[in-house]
Amino acid sequence: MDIGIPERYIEAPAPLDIPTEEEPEKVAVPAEEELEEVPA
Amino acid sequence: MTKFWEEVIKTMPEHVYWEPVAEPLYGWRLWTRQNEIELHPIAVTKDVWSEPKPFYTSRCELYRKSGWTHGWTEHEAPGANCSCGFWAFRNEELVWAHVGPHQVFGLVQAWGKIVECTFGFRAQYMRPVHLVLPDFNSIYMERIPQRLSERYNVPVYSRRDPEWKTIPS
Repeated sequence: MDIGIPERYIEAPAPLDIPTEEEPEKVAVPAEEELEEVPA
Repeated sequence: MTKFWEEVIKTMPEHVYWEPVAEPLYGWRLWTRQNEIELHPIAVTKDVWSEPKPFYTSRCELYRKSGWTHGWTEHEAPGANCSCGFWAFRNEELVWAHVGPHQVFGLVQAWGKIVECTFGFRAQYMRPVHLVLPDFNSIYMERIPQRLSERYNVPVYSRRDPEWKTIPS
């Protein structure tokens, strides 16, 4: 198997359905009313 | 530094100008088939294709074995002065000319850094678009096309099916 010698160096974009950056990890934040009051 | 090493350094990835292009590249790649429905590279590179993934990332393993031939250090694939990266042929005639027994070939999409060569290219990222089984009609191949298709989530064609030459627009 032989693909020959290098002729050109290119940089191609990813297909549109491929995410280019990793999505930041989502951290669940409880709603204010869900927070329990801590007795003093 | 000798003239020889100056020439080598010019072809190292960080010294190469990677010309931006507008779209991913299509090409034709060969694999061997193991355990009936696992794709494996036909070259000596590390196996990355056996597990189904949305796409595959090439990493150079060659520098560890013979670093002196292409810059002696770890580098991003495809190295300009290496033979690493995912290989593919430019067209279907070339890939068909190289297909051997128990092999699978298919249309692939490639992106990232790509070294375009005379008959094909070496790419940083790649994914199969569809696969073609040359010996599709063999009695031993029962259910293999369907299982292969389900594993890699791509269509699997017979070589006799004209659709295999279709490249998505």
